[in-house]
Amino acid sequence: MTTVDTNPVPSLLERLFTECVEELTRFFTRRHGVGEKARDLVQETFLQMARSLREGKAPQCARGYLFGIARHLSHAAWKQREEDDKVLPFDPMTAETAAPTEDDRVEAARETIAALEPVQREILDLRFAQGLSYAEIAEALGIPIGTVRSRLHHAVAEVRHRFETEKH
Amino acid sequence: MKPETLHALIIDRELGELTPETAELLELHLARDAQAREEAERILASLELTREAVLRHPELARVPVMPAEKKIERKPRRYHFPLWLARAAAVALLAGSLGFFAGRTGSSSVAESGLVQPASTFNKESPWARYRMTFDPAGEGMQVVRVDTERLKLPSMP
Repeated sequence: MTTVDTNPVPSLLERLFTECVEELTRFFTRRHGVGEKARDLVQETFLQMARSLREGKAPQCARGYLFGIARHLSHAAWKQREEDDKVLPFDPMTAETAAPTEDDRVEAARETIAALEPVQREILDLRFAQGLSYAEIAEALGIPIGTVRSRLHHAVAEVRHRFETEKH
Repeated sequence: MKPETLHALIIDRELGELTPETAELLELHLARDAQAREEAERILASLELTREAVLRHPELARVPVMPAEKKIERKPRRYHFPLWLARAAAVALLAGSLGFFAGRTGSSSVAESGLVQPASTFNKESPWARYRMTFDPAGEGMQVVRVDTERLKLPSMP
């Protein structure tokens, strides 16, 4: 008896889950720490993605769209936490560094990046920590791809400027 | 190649965002230009430093939450001209209009009033001395008429 596979090609959601579950876990862990919260947010992201696909949404860049959902959920979770704990809004300039370093150059780069616009810091994180392409970042943040490119170039130029100023 | 262009190309190449053709052209440029190669090394070092800082400091990714009502709304830009500039423009427009209608309706009266000099009083050395602006009799606008026929004779002509 021959069994017929009714779904030989995994659906978009299954494929995204296979490809992106680890990346999304890393995305939320970097923002919310290791634990239940990050896992819940990963699940919620895929649930929202499934809902969007069921409603007929056909994103041009599925991975970028998925990270766009993740970003919104992360912001909402932070907002909720600030309201629950009555904590001050996060300020990257005064935040304690997660991993103290001996390297002055990295510290100077951290300070430079912390002074950049929030969207620029998000672009850097999505690129370097999550490995998203310019197109995927543009989809996730809802901004033109040219803006992603120019903001990233500008950020690197700022780091270089700071580095070279301190060297002299 | 401008330094900004090289900066952008080197970063895009490193991040895999350049087309193969552009990457090849960049390679050729770097192969020929030692100064550009040195500059490329410095750009790559900055990029690596940025990457390292981002990876070591996840707190940088936590951006402040911006409530929907506080989102920046772009208002249509309004241009403000200085009052004196607006007045000067109005005066110039009025003078221009008056001059135009005076020329259309009574060219002789304007000449009589002394506002217009006779052609003979113009500087004959001026290249414009040979031309005169006249109104087209059919009322279709203005015509340029050559008035200095003597100068039409070139030395070589009989």
